[in-house]
Amino acid sequence: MNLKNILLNMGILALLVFGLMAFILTTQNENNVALSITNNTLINDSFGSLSSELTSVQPQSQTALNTFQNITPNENLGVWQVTPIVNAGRTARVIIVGFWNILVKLPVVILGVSPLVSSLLNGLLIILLILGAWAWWKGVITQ
Amino acid sequence: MEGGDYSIMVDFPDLSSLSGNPTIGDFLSLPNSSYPYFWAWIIGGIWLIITFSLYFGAKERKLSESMLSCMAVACFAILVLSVLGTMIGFISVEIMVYILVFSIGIIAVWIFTTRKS
Repeated sequence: MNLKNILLNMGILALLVFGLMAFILTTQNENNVALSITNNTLINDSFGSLSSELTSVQPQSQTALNTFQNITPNENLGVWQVTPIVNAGRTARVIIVGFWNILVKLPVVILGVSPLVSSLLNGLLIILLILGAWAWWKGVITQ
Repeated sequence: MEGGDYSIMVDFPDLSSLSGNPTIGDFLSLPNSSYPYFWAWIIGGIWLIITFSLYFGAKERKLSESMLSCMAVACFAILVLSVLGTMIGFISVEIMVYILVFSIGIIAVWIFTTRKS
């Protein structure tokens, strides 16, 4: 599985989970359920994080597109214009972090995994994000 | 105390524990007061039945069966069932959160393993 498919899967999964949680919350709110799942603080935080992360994807993608469009073709031959790919990398980071909030943080806390393990996983993910973005910009990963 | 004359009094809830005008939600949530995971086990059983029905149904029709996809589809079904349960009132928030986390985990594994590059 290449980088493009991983990002696509993460985006689809984040949207799917957001849709599932939105379905549950809407159904519960419209039927005046006494104890909604938003009473659980972790669910409340995760849903809020996912919602804000996904909402910020569109403006950031638009910024990346604008940057790409505004490149003036006056660069010397062989000079690599990195600004557009940096912006795209930042948008990808938003998708991955939103995915992290909903898919890893929620089960880790609810299933009772130690905060130490959670912190270690979080650190590993951030390091992988940095290395992946670096490899992307350097052209080590082509897709 | 000699003679072992012990008596342990345990008040198990029964139908007399219901309020004066019980709803169907009160009736269905009666087992929760004795054992909080009563409906969680039943939802788990329904999940197993749906999973194996889908899997062996596909196998019998000689389709390309996949246990993971059957499990994920069953997760969608139990999510809807548990939301209905919270509306009626016999599924508690804790059970709902556990079902949600379990379902999201299986659906995530399914999506990440079935897309071909």
